Amino acid sequence: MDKKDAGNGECPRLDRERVRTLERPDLYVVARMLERLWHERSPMLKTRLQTAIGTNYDVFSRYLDWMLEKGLVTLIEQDGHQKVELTDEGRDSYRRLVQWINETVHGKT
Amino acid sequence: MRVGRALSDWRLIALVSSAAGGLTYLLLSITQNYSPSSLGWFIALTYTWWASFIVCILMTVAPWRPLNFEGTWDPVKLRRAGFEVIVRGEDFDLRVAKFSMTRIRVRGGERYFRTLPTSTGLWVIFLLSFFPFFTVLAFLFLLYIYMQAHEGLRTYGPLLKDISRPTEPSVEELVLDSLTSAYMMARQAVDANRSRFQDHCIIMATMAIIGFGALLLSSVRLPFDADEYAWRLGGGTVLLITITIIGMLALWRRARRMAEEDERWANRLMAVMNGAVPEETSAIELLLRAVSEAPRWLNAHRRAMWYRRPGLTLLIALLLDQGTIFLFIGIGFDLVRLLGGGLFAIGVLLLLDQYRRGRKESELLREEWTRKMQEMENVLGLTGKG
Repeated sequence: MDKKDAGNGECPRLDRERVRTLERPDLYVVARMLERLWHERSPMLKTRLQTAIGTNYDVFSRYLDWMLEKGLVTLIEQDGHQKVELTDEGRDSYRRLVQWINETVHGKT
Repeated sequence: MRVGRALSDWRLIALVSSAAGGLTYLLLSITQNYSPSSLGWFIALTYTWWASFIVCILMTVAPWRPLNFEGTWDPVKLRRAGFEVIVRGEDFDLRVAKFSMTRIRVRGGERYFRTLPTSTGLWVIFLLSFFPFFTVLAFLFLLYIYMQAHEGLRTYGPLLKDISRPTEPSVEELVLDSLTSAYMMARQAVDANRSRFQDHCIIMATMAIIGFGALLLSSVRLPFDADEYAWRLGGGTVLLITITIIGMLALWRRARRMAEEDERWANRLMAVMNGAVPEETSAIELLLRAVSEAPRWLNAHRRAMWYRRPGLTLLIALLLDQGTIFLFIGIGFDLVRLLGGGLFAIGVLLLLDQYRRGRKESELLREEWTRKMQEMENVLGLTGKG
């Protein structure tokens, strides 16, 4: 397991093996995770996020690691628990996704 | 907003005159007791028939008229405001009345429009044009469509001025707007499928009536035999009714299945908009899945093959109709039958070409949506290995 301490309370743990097995992430799962984190005003517990998107732990962990590698989310230590938070890039990706959907349903090419 | 008066166009007056001239000639011919078998009467009848039909077609493909309006004719804004809009490449169709649509084109800052019948209006014109004197009614109906289109644009112009959109909406506003638009698309698809079923039933019933008329004429044999006539007529009528009922049942089952599926979509979207779903339900996932349904919903309105170019559709109907008639009534006149065969062949070729273009357009639409989905996945960096 690859550990990296950013020195500012952030402890991202990235399982590269799990990320490698996620060859083609499911768009709907990624979108659900981004949406759920967007609506949270504070970092979210991993277990709560897993319940919100409705997957098992193994699948959730693979997607979480994939999103960590892409820089869409980050893990932070808060109140003795590890929590997930959207990065600026994650927020921007979600905003672009919503804009793309809006333009598509309105028939703009 | 200025929209030219329909009857002020000199071309329209010229076309009306040609149609009226042919009809007048026919009436004069009848009052002067022309023999039905004379070539002159036949020519007069055909001229009236053709003249009225050609007038209809020319009016349907009437030249583009300038649309003087301060503001922006944006199909996206129009759709958001609740108007029925169908985008066709760089142009778009706007429904302004029950039987009238306008095709709007913007070129280099200049705006133009052309009047078109809706799908129902097109079928009414087509069916009326089967009989010589009814083509005059078809012409009058098309004139009504023309006037309604002008009136509709005058009415909507001031309303469209007030349509505006706030700049830089928030993500939540975009999501709600997307849900609303997807709901409207799904709801319009439900209505379009139901309307199409009703239209098809009317068409089937009308064609059954026309078929019965043809059956009546074809059942007559010389020397006349009452028993044979009754058998032919009775058997043919039963066959016609059976085919019509089976056809309607098949159409009803198909339309109901499609309408139910779209109805379920509309209900799910409405439930999410109203917040009447569990917190774990994802609005963004529902929207992404709705996006994949959008091509089918758009096709419920598009009907690319027949209504994209109504002038050409009417021309095909004319060629097939006249070709068939010339083939059957030109007995003894080889030249007439040859002409009929030629017209029919041209009509079939144009029909096949329309079908091929329609399939090509559907294929391009699928490719476009596949490209869009790929583009969307690129937004999230989902392409390639993770």
